[in-house]
Amino acid sequence: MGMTGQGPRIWAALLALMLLGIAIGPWALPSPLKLDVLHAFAPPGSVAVLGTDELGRSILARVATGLQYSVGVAVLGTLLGASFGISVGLAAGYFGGLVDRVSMRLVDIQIVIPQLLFAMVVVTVLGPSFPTLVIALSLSCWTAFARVTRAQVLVLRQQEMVAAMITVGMSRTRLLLWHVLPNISGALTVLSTLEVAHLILAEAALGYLGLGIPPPSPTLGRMIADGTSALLSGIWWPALVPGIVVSLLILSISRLGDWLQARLDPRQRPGFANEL
Amino acid sequence: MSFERSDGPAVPVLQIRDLSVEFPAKGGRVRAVSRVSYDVHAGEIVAVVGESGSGKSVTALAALGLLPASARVTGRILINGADMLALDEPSLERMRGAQVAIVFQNPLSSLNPTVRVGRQITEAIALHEAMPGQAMKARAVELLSQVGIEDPRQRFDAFPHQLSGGQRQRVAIAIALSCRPSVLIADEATTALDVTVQAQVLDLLRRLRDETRCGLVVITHNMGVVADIADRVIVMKDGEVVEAAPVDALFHAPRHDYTRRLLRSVPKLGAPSARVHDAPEAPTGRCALQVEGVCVGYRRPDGSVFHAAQDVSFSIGRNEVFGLIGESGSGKSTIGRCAAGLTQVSAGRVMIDGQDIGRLGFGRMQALRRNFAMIFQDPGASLDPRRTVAQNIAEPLIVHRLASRHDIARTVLEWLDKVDVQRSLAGRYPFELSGGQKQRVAIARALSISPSFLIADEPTSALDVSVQARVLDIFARLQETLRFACLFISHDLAVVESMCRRMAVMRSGRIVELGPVDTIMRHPGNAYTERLIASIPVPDPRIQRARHVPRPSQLTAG
Repeated sequence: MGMTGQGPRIWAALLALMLLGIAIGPWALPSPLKLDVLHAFAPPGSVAVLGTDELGRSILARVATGLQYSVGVAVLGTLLGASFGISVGLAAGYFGGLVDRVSMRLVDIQIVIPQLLFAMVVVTVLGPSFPTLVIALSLSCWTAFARVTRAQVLVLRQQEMVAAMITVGMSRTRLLLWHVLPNISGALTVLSTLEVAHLILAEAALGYLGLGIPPPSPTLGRMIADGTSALLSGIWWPALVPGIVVSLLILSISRLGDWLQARLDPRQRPGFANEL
Repeated sequence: MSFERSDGPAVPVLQIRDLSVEFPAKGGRVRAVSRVSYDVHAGEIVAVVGESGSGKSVTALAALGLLPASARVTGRILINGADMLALDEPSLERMRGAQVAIVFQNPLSSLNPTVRVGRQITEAIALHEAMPGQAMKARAVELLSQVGIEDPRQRFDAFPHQLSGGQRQRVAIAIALSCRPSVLIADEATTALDVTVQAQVLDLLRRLRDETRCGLVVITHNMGVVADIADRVIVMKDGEVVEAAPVDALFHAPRHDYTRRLLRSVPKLGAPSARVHDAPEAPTGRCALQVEGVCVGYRRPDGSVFHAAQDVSFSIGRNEVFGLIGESGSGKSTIGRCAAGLTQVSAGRVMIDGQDIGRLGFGRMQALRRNFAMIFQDPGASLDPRRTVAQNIAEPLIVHRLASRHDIARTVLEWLDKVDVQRSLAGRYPFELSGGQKQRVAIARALSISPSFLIADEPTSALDVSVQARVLDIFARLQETLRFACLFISHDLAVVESMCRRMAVMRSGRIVELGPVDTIMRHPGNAYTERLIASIPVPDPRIQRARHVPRPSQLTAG
């Protein structure tokens, strides 16, 4: 899988660089809203490092701010979706019966609706804003958490550990939160990373369709949309720079997920199997 | 068909010379086998005995050229003169099956579940011999009948899941014998089987040795099996051969300390108990546990009901250790789970300390759990792997608010002392401990709340014999000081005999016999109990030889 050599390090460095950009960009760079019409469509390297857009705004500054929204929405959306999905999955897997049937039918219903379409409807109804986006995206990712949690709990339930904890006289809440959850946290960590990458893509798509955080705040999706028309005249940077950044971001996050998966799964750890 | 071989009696079919095996490990290499040498002659049964990690199985895998590529192997393994360590992969493939074959512990995982058993045998034949399909089928049917499968022609078309555990292991043996190997290795081949089935498979192996004159290597940890079947014994410890001797010499005049310790650790049937007791009687008055007419049924997918337990009744007095014995599927663990409130009874009632646990609400059941605890078979699965030893032991104390934060740390350390686990291991995680240490931690966790009643479900069957002896010692010592009552569930009569004064024997969900252990062992009142006792291999080759004669050759059963 290319887990050896320099591969993972390069992706990790790239991810770190982008996160650093998000953290210090807004202070170190000119305002993403500052107009400079005289220098509209300046190519990269002249007036601004990554060039300017049709209103002469710095693309680097706009990408940094866009990333900030993008990552913020995706991380918060994943956290919200994960807490809801994990709770549902724990209850469904542990209690079974009616709880399981009702919650898994809810999951089924959610899954048959295309994620992006669902998010678009939610954003349209509630009006585009930062919190709306977080809610819309969390609704599109909780099902994965619910399903994975439920499957893992079903496996864990069969183990003597759970029976041992029950005979100790432990409350269900303590059993689930202190003993079951930590034992499935590996799979959930990996899933969270991959969901963050998903949601970044979804946020960019919504932005592209004009349903992202409303202007004048820059979002990566709308930058790409706005820059497309100029592409025909050979002015590539307003559309391609945010496009490349969002691709690299998603790639590096999913590589991080792969790496975590390999690290957290004992079966994939290098070394000789101890059963002989 | 004749299995005669022309090998002269003097030339060993298997010669292992100075075999050493090293595996890569954290910070260097680990030596799993160290300068091991032994011979196996045609028609001879050599038992290789040792505890887990002794290198006995690694030696066998090396003999088949099945070690992972990362292993560094030195020495020589000659099978009929061919050095298995010098051969390339195609030559190894020609040797495996034809010259040397192996039967593994678990036939359920070594047989292919999607292929009919007959096909699995003909496939093995076809790898080494070209013959017409009809002849091949005839040979497979003959092999099935040779390993004691009833109706071999019908069974030819069966899938592994349609056979019982004993029959599956017979099929695995038939596959191993299909090309008349001169060396057959049985790697813990009877370990996963019930004792009554184990006795039949051992009889089968002995008969096959007589018929085929192959050299048989029996790898086992069970000294009873060794006494039953071996001509010569190799004792291994930490990768080295510590003693090699004919079976009688080994059992009656062991030379090495480790062999003596191993023999001492085996719980012996009929050994007089260390403690003197009066004739035990059924408890009267208030009992630690009363099981009255308990039935447990599961509905099968087709609507019929499977009875895991039927009309089971017994009671355990205060301070009494009561044994519940049975083979797999007898329902003994189901009864244990009912007593712990983990499984609902479909009829009857379970009373702990006079309270019917089926009628208690959730809250009162939780409160009752303050007074009883349970120990499970696999401590690796029953301890929380994400918490340290100390956190695991402390959990019941925290749940029942039995100690303040400061006291907990002290209590945990005291419990580590009581179960002979070094205090320095308190901060370790369960996977860093050995099996015996883990089970002792599990015992400490169960007893930390000072329960008046304990359920122990096969607490030592996952452990090596010497470790088992130590755990049982600790358990008996703690029981004597703490005086808790105990439901001791086991498949091992010798263990129950050493721990309990009264016991019940279960079979197919019912209790077939109940009473004082001494009486049942001496005068079993039931044909099944009698067969159970007769099937247990006694670690004494003279006794085992005497038993072979009366033991009916149950060729077709199992």
